[in-house]
Amino acid sequence: MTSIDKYAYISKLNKMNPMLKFVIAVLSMVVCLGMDHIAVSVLIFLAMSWLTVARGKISLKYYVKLLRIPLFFLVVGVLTIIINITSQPADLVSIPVFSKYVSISSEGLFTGIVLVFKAFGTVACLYFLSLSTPMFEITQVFNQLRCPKIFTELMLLIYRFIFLLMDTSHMMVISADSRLGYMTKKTWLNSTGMIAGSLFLKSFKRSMRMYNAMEARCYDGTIEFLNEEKPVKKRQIVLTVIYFVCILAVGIIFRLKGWMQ
Amino acid sequence: MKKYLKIKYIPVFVLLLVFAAGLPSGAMHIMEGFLQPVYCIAWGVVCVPFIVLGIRSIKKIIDRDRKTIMLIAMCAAFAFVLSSFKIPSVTGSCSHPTGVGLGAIFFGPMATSVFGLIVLLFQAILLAHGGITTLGANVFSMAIAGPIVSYAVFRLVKKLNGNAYVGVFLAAALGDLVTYCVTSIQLGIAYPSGGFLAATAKFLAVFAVTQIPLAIAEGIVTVLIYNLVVKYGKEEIKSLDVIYGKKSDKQGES
Repeated sequence: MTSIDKYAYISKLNKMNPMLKFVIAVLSMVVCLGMDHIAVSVLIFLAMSWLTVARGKISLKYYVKLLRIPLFFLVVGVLTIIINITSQPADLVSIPVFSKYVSISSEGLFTGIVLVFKAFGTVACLYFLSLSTPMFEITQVFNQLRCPKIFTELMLLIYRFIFLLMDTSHMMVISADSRLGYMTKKTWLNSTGMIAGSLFLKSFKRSMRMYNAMEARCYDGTIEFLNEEKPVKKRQIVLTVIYFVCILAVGIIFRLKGWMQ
Repeated sequence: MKKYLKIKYIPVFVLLLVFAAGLPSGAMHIMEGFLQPVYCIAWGVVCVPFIVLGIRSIKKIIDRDRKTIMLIAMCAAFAFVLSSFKIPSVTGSCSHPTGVGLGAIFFGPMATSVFGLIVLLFQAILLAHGGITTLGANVFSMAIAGPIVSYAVFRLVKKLNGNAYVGVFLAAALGDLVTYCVTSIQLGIAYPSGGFLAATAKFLAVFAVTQIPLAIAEGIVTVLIYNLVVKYGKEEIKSLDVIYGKKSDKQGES
């Protein structure tokens, strides 16, 4: 899990203004879902993947590996949507089971296909954001969007603690594994329970120590980060506007003409 | 009848299903882009009052004692790390616990809703589980509906003087099941092919394969965690009272 975060730091898009990246990612998602059209989804998917892989210099192999993460949900979810149990046979596939039919209609199949494209389009937007923007910059964006201060502060603290705990739990898992703690399902459950329990207690002690350490360094409720100025370049704004005009135009034209629907 | 039976399609679907079974199954996060904009917004709006109340209660707690912000943050990080653990499930594949029940038992449903939101946001950005557009729906099922049921069950069993471990098991397992039911309902509303009820039933049936074993496994793991924490963490549990804002009644049981 540390890897997505690592890639966010080494991405060549790191120099881009975080607000601009956030706006591009979220607006693209909105357009992708709002337009609800295969052509738009494909365009957004290609644009976002190009930005991430070609401009951000994230390895294509890793990017494809990431794209496989939501596959389980996508395959199961889409199959569930397109396969129906009906009393009347549908036009594409109908398998009689007792007095009903397990059927797929061409309309349902099309909904499923559009959904697959839409999902991959928005997932590419999500990856564009998370593979180019470190978490503390995302909290800065939230701050600029007038999120409650307490919320962003919690986000930063939680983010830091996650890595602390991940480290500890990783070591505990290794030592449990070396003592054959994952041999059978029973010992597996047992080890998981023990690790999680002691991790819980450890994290308590750690949080108190951490507070003392931070208070000793004048912590008063705000965590200050060195804000690197990342001005938005004129060229970037122009390109962003062109990009959105293009996808909107494609979406509207395809919709009006009724192509690929 | 032969007209409708196109045999050549069947192997494709069987292959797809086998393929799907081999993939790691996370907890039931609705993936990015799966819901239509209307439902993204609607579920987001449903979550707002819970989050606002939660933030307000956390603020009040922190004003009383600044130290507790560390505690709350550490608990949320713990929930995140817990959801990255692999636990075996009956079907042979691995699942990840949700930590929903544990969060609700230790911290109450209010605080759980806020840090559930943050944990789900991190899961979307750092792990690609769930998504930003489906955040509202996921928060409602995992950080609001699940914890409320877990908490209510835990309280109820306690009130009836039932065995604490039974209470913990039921709270965790039922919290998981409610999350899975709510998610199925959300999907059924969004894709009501063949009617809302039929669609919901379909999703319930399909995800039962991964979610029911997961609920049982998570129940067992939560009991083990609870056991350990109650045994060795009397001091820590006392400090949790601050989050509840009242005297806890958890100590008398071990």
